[in-house]
Formats: sequence, C-alpha cells, structure tokens
Amino acid sequence: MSTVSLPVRGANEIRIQQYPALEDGNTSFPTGGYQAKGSPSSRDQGLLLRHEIQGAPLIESLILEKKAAYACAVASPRSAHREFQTSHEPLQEITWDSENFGEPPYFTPMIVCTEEFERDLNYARDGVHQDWHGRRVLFPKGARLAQGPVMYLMVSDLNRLLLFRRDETLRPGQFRVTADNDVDFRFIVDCHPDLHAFLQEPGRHMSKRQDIMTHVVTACFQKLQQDYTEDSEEDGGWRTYKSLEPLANLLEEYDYPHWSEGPEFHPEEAATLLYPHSLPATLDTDEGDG
Amino acid sequence: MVEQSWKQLDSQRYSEFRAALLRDKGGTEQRKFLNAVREKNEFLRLMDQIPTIGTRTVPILPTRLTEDEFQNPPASAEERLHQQWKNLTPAIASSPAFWANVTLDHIRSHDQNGQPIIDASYLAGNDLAGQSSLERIDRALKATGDKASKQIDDCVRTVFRQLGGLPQARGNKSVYVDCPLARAWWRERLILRAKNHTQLSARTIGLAIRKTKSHWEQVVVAMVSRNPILGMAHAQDALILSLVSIFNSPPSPHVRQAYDRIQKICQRLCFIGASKEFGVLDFSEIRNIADEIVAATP
Repeated sequence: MSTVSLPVRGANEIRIQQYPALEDGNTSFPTGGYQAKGSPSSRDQGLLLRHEIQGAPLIESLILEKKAAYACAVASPRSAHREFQTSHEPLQEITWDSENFGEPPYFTPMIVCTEEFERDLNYARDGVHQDWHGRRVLFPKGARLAQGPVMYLMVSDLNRLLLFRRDETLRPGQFRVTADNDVDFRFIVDCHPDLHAFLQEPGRHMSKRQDIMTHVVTACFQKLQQDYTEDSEEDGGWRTYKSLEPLANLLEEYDYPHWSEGPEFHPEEAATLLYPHSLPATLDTDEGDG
Repeated sequence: MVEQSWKQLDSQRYSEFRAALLRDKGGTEQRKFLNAVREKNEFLRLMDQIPTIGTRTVPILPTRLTEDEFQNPPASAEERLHQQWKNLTPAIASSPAFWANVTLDHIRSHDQNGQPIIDASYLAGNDLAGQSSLERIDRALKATGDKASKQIDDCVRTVFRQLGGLPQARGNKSVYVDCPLARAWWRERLILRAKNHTQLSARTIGLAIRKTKSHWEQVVVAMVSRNPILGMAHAQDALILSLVSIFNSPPSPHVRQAYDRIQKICQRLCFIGASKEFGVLDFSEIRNIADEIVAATP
C-alpha cells in the first residue's frame, strides 16, 4: 500500500485535504460531527471548553494514541496575538493573560495532529467514507482533523451592545447615545439618574420602558448610519467590530436593509422592526372628521 | 498591591470626538480643528476636553525631534524608545487612546532648551506629499472648489492617524502603521524577539523591517487580520527572519518589487496556515515553510 493523494472531488465533498477531516461540507466521515461548547470557568481569564466528536472513531483513536489532541487557538487580532493550547481530555480549560489581549479573545476550537504519521484507513473501523477505504494516508503535523466555529467571550446581542450610565449633568428625562469603538464596539447610553433608575426598575410601566428603548435603539441605528457604513474589515468599517455582526445578521433575518445601504435604511423603521411600539388593546379614537 | 492602569484618553469620549469631526467633512469644525493643530496651545486646549483614565505613564523622549525624525524615526531612536517603554504590554500598546495620550504628552513636554519635543503640526504631515506639515495644513485651508473638502478631511484624518491610529477608518493595522510612536515600539519589539532565533544583529534585522512603511504594513496586515494566522509569536519571528533574507541577498530588490514579493509571501504563508495549524509547529518548522515560500516567490 502506498500513500495516495485523492483527486479533488469538489469542495463540498472530500475537500482539498489529503486526509479525512470533520468540517462543514466534507463527507469524509458520513455520520460524523464535531462541536465544542464553551462555559465560564472558575478563573477570571478562563473558559471551559467541551469538545464532542460523533461518528468519527478514527479521530477518537488518534487522540487516545496521542497522535492528535483537542486544541483551541485563542486570539486577539487587535493586539497581533494568538496562542495555542492543547489537551488530551475532551473537557479543556482555556486560560489567558489579559496583558496580551487588546480585546475579549476569539476562540477557535479544533482537533489537530501533533505529529506526522501514516495510517491505513478502514471504512468499518474508522468511520470514514468508502472512498478512503484501503488507502494509506499521510497525516501531516498540524493537520486540522476537525474545526469548530470561532467563539467570542462577549455575548453580542443588541442588549449587550448597550451600556447604560448615570449622568448627573443631564436634565430629567434626558439621555444621550454615543459610540465607543476603542475595545470592539458598544453604545454608551448616558441617562439622567432618574431615567437610569427607571430603566433598571420600570415596575408596572414596562411598556413605557419599551418605548424609551425603541427611542434609544433608533439613536443607535442613527450612529451606525452616520459613522459606520464602510464595509471593509481590512480597511476599517463596521466589519472590524465583531460585536456588530449579530446585529447585522438580525436585520438580515428580518430581510431589512443594512445600515450601510444608504437611503434604503431608516433608523426608526429598523428600531421599530426589532422593538415595535405596543399599543393599548382598545384605542381611544377621535370621532371628528380630521 | 494593585497595579496602576496605564494613562490614556477616555476611549469613548475620544471615539466620539473623532467621529464628530470626521462627520464634518471639510466643514467649519474641521477647519477650526486644523487651525488649532497649527497652534500648540489651542490644540492642547481642544484635546484636554477629553478626560483621561489611569495614572501610569511612560517616560517622555528627552530631546526634540524634527518633523522628519517624528515621521520616520532613525533606528537608534526606535531602539531607545522601546528600551524606555519596554514595560508596555501588547494589550495597551494596541490602544489608540493610549498612544494618543503618549503623543499629546510629547507635544506638552519640553527638552532642556525649552523646545517642545514635537510640534502639534507634525501630526498633519504626510511624507509622501513632499511638503511640510504646516504647508499641508495651509494648502488645505486655502483650497477652494470641489477638492477643498477632501483636502481638509484628509488632513484631519492624518492628524488622528498619527496621534494614535484611526482604526475606525483603517482597521487594526492603523495603530501599528500610522502612529509613529506606536510603530516604533511594535517594530522594535518584533525585531528583538526575532533576534532570539539568530546570530544576526538587531540592526540587520531592523534594516529589512524598517526599509519602508509600506513593507512594514504588509507584515502587520498578516498579523492583525481577523483570523491572525501570523498572530503566533514564533510564526511572526519566522516570517521576519525569512524576509530579512530578501534584503540581505544581493541584488537588493527595488522597493516596489520587494513590496509585491512581501505581499505574496505573507498571503502564501497565511494560506498554508489556514490548513496547517502553526500552533503545533515549532519555530524551525515554520521557518522552513517561510524560507521555501521566499525561495519560490520571485
């Protein structure tokens, strides 16, 4: 038996890799799957990562033989920093030193080969596609056998984009929305102390709070429309800020134009799409002819 | 003991300050701002409206810099600067609000002859234009017609880029490339770390890295991209040492050719890194890959 390179059969089948891997669109493991779930660890700068492999006995046996390992890349593009941590246990504790990270880290979970080796593949034993059966395959050191999606520490829905602060210089009922893009992106909502307290504890006036929030979100969208319409990650623009992506995705789910799409985008329409005003069940109608 | 945090501009206020000015393309506020940049005290009065946080500061450079020395510090100045600021961490050294405060401190401070270390007007300088920063400001302010707004806006953007970087418009690379003090620190940091793997002197490595700003920019783009394959320290070291070989092997390449070649090498290395995890490779293995790419990239 000799080492072979499989012909490329299209990116959605066996991909370009010369070894079987678990990844979206790759059918090397027909019943295989890989996912990693993160949860807070007991340390300040820590994350517990649980790697889960299904339907890929080859990869599980390579980990047992210590030819492969569970791993996670922890990165901060902003501070040009990336580190790599491996584990032979599926429950991996990731730690990092905040002095190296100019932003909340990105985590990329994966399974990698830690040495180069050859392996004769068997369809029944290894769980690989029949196309791999009977072949001797070279696994290079550093080969990614599985890779999960990039994860962020920061939950990035719209609520997490908003930071409410008390501002005693504002008049009763006033608020002001500004954008802070120095560490990723967030909106700062400065409120008069009474308004700040009301938004925290609206009591039975929840619908009033909802209306104020719609107003706040409108102001947020205005900021985005004014200052964050450029659309290049490399040269700046809104894609530089990963916390804005879920918001962009949310608009897309509603089939609403993105804030970078000029006159197509109306801040108040986007805000009331996401947070519509709730009206009283019975409207007091004006019977006049106006 | 609680460690003091580094002194920097309040990032939110600074972001808003920049955003408000950049919205006013060619308008009254931008004109006022550029006029202030000509006059140190007025510029500092404007910038002092932005509050600061933290207390820990870096030493100010002791001698006055000419405009050219500020835009393109000599190797000796970058070495001295990094030596004085070696306690900085990557987290703080990637913050525009931190570098803006450091640059402002250099405008506020004086040498032993009572001269400011740098003039505020230096921030508007653009060494590609072949004119002094004051000339550039004056030309922008006197411009008329369709291009006037753009000239003023360009000049204001240059000020923010050089003050601490402008990631809002230029992405993560802006701090590393556009702010001369930050650029000096990062370049020297990378040079000193790469030196740990070689007999070459830091000066020799520096010659290649400091060749031009655009060469440096190519390397930075590969380090700060969203999936920073070249974020690993040993991958950065390997890349830098492989690039040194381009400039050490005669004939020395033309600047433009070298730029294209570095760009291709960085792209190729990132492409390989996308399928092969550099995190499990050691320095020599990545260096071999980088050397092969350099040899195969004319």
